[in-house]
Amino acid sequence: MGWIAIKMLTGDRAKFAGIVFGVAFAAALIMQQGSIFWGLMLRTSAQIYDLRGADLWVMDPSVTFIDDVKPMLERQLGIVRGVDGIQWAVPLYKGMARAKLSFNDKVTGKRVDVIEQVILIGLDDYSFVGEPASMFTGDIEDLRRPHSVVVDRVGLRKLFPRQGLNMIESPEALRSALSQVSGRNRAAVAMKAKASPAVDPPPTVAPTLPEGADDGSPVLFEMEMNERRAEVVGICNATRTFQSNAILYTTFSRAKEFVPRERKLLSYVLVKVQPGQSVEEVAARIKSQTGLAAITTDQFVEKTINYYLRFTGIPINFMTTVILGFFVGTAIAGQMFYSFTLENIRQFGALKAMGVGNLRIIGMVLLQAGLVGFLGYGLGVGGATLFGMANRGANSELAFYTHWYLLVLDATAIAVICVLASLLSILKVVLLEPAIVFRG
Amino acid sequence: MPPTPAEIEFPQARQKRLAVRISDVQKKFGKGEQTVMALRGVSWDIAAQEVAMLVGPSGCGKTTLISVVAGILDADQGSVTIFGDDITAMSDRQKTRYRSFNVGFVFQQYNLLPALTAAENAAVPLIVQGVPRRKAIREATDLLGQLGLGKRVHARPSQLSGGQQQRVAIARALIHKPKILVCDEPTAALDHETGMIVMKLIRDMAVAADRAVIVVTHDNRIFSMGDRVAHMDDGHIDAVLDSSGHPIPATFAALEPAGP
Repeated sequence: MGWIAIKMLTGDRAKFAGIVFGVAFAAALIMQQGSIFWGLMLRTSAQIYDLRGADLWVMDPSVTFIDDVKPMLERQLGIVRGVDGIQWAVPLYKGMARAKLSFNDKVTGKRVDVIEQVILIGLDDYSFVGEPASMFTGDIEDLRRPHSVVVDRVGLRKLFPRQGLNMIESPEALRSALSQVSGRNRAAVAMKAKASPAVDPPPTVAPTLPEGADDGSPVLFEMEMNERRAEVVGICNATRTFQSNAILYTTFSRAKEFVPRERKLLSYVLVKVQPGQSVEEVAARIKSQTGLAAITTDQFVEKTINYYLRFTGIPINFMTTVILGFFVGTAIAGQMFYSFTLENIRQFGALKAMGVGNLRIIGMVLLQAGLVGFLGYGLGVGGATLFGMANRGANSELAFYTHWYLLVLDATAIAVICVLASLLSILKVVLLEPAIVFRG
Repeated sequence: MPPTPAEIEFPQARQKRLAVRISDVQKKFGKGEQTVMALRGVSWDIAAQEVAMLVGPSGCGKTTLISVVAGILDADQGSVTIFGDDITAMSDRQKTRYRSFNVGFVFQQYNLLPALTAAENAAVPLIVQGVPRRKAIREATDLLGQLGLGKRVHARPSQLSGGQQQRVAIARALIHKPKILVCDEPTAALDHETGMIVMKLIRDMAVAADRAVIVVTHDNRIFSMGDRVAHMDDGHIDAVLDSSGHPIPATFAALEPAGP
């Protein structure tokens, strides 16, 4: 009887397509919204994962998420280093700074002034623990140069609006483009030569290089922060943050110069546990001996995500859309399924008259619902995935991450939709009097 | 054995075997003041190997009667036996199963499944019984060939004429060799010529020694195709006529009930 059920369902192609569409719509919406939500949540804690190399993050106990920096006194670093079981402990600065720069707009040809809030990360001066995972162009070691900073590639979009620098795929082309828009190979070279002739001998190339030509200097462009010169010596690959501000990496001591002076500037202490030591035990020791909180990377990520879940409107907004999608899908699929059953009610009556019992009839309806659910789920999930793939990439504005939990959740939702959509139909055929077939 | 009075009056009765015995069947619908007595103690014997027609005005209870006989509706009182099997004593589940093996239907509106081909439609009763699909379709194809639809087995109902659809319905009704064939207005949706062809097919294909055929009809043009015609009015059978139009008893007390 199964193939009869399927043939009955697929016989009316328009109706079949309509039912499948209803289910696919719900599946796609649940998957898409869920993936965007998950991607956004991952972005909230992106910097925690990017700052790799440490076993523990030590911080003020009242810190609730990564951006909720409660600065500590620098002497806390020494106290933490004194706790048993620690291999090394290094300082980390994390905060917001204001960057100023000028560039030549390639579209209008005019000089543009930009003032942007940037995320400033100050790494340990010597070890660079927490350095970016990879450099797009430049060498992280150039951070040892005076005034040097490294900018994330996506951040170029904010620092050089409308220039498309973040979309350039070739490091050489990016260097050339930066040189062109910043105009540094004439002006900056001259300025550097004037400012520090002893420390950085002026380049051997003449300051009248053509626009875009590489003068061999690691400095890509310059900006000003807290009235200090910052020379960008590299472009790194970093995970996009929730705020989408540009991320600047520099050394801890240099970071202190780029921000207004405060008594407490130590944001976090990154700790590596000695081999053979238990991370949990060392964390407990730090807490008891210093009064500071010491948590692992995973724990800090969880803490940050929980903060966003509890204290922002993000979950409720996404959940609203998902629930709406669920009900819309159910309504479309249910209405069309019921309509299909009504149109075939005489046929169901004939089957009952010919000796098909209620259980088999229910089985037929559920098989039809199952087929619709299977196809709708596949199409919906596939469509959402294609959407995510089409918008992926570090430069993409879309936060999209499909965890396998979402596949299971989506499948469960679709199963519920199919059962609900078929309930009315099941009731109709079960209560159907076979004698209906004798009526003209 | 000496002939019974019924056999003296109806000599042809002796050769026939009792197929369906309807005994004092009553059926009402509704409750209280809105009660409608659809069947008021109907008694009727139907022999095997003949076409029994049931005629009467709309609302007289014809459809209710054949629904009870086919096991689709429960009688409030009385009994119905088909070749000795008491339908009215069966549970719903037993009746459903009984219908799948022993009852064939030909409907006024054909009620073919529009998404299935002619052969697939005709094969449905066998598939309901659990016969493998290919075997069922093979048998259906053979039967459709006997009914003159050999070249149309792959056509869908929408591609067939009314007469062709009814022939598919007849094939569907007979493929599982039922004990009783119930035809509800089989020619109502057809023109006279096609209707006569369909009735001739029913006579030629359906009538068998171990089968009863009941035809409910308004169409007096086909009365002559029946072996006996029962006139029903207001929930009971008024008269039963033979093929010549002579009155005969509704029940054959002379005939011994046949076992399964």
